[in-house]
Amino acid sequence: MSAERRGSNTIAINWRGLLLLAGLAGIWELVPRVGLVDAVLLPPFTQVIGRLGSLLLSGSLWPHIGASVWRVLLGYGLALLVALPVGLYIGLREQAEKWLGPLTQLLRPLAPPAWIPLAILWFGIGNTPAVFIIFVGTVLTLLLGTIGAVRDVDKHLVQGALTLGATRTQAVFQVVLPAALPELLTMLRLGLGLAWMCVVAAEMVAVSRGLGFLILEARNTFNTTTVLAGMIAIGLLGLGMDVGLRQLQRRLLRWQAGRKAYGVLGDPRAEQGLSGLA
Amino acid sequence: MRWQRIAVLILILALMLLGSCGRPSTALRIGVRTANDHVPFYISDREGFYRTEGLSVTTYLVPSNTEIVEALQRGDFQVGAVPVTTAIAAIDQGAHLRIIAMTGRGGDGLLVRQDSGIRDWADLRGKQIATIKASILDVLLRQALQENGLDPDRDVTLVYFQKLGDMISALQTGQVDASSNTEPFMTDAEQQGWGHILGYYTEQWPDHPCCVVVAREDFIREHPDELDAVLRCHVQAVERANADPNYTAAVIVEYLEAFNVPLVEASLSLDKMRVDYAFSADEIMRMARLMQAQGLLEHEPDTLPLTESSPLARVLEGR
Repeated sequence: MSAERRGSNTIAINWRGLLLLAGLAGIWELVPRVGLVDAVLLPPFTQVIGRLGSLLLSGSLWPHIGASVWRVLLGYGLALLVALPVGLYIGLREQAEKWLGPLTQLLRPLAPPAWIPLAILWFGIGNTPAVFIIFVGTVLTLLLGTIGAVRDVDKHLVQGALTLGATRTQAVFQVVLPAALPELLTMLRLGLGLAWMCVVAAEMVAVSRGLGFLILEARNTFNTTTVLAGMIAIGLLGLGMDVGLRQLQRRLLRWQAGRKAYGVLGDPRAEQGLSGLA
Repeated sequence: MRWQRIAVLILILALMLLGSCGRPSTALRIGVRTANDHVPFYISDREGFYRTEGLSVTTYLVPSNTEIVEALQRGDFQVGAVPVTTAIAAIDQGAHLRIIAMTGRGGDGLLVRQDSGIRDWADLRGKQIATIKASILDVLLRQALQENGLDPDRDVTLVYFQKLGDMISALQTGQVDASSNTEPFMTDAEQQGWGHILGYYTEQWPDHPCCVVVAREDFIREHPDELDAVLRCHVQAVERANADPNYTAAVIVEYLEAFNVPLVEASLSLDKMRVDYAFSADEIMRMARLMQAQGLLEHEPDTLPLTESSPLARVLEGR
């Protein structure tokens, strides 16, 4: 489904990815139709897509989409605001990691639903606890990712900049951050996916709109078709946002083009070349 | 060669997955929740009623109603106990289940804080009420609000939760003004001094059905003797529960691993709730119509095969 931008104006469709998705959708359609799986537990693909379409056309899905997107962006944005500067600070200072490392490792395994009772007690009901759960579900992963990205920067680059007269601030912003950017952008994508993964748990907390709420409500009435339609909607939104981040990644990391090992081992010509070199 | 191995592995995994779907197991498994009115199943399990009937039964305590229905539909359970609204919604969505007996009546109502100043339904206007969307607590709350002259969508704000305990926390800490809830949580709140039970939904619908016993269609059809034996145990356990509330409360505390015997016994008083086995198709249909009026069903209730009363009738005749 992903669309990849080639050059500046053309968008290349990932036909192989589409073909795989179509194949899986075909199997999904077939399995309940021929009775291999109970259609109540797994409704056919077309039935689920039909439900998704009818929810969209009737307008009843849009408030849920709007509520979830808003919560994800807010929770994720707040997590970024905390994780990036703190991660940069810890990544540059060994002592800071010694202080904060155990705390982050202690909190990281706590699943978002575990925070629900505390979220209600601390923040009441409505959007705030939901946003908090997305925040808490993503912030530590983003923090550890930032620390790792900063730590992975080649120290010779920093030393070189300082030797050439750069101030510490210049070294951080003009050397460390650009060098950490590839890892940071990958982490941003992972964090966004994580934020969407938290949305169902977040919307268990006293909200009346959101795709997670829609899924939970449908589950209460054993409406598997709507549950799956809600899940597909979350998947599509997550995919759409990821495509946007990938475009940003490609734009910011243009200098990396042609330098990555990605695809080399899968390319027979390159493998031939490598063995020839050996 | 490597691809052939991967293909064989995928095939084996797919066959294992498909083989596990919808296949009823040979041992009889019953899924119930941790709730006051599921006590007949605890008693049957504890007192060995199933063994006496020659049945090999494992009773599973499951944390949520939907998980019981999902397990029933998969064939992991043959019999289960769920709120009547959950059973009706599942059948509406095509689940191959039938309601075959009752487990409890009443027990649901509206809880407010003692210091809230809310002493009448009219005082709820403009307030926030916690409930669980599409649950029996929600269906009966909406009915009660309407019968007390309040529009559930305009005169109050319904705040949706997923767990009873979260609603109690929200009410206790003042996040909401009232909570549609159930026993023994409501009596517990009252005994602790912070809660006040505004009313039970039995005021709007006396002796309304709460939780019911459901069974898979194929089990009803193919194993009538086993089903009758399960229902005999159920009837016996209901009678035992009603005969000795103190014993019943002790069993509930033992299985729930929560609350205490005097509290649970207080919540079992007849003006609050009662366990029962008898049911009528009419009262189930009334609940289905109520759900339909609230937009919770996709089909006309009259077209739904909701109940199967002959096994219980057979058991009662044979006594």
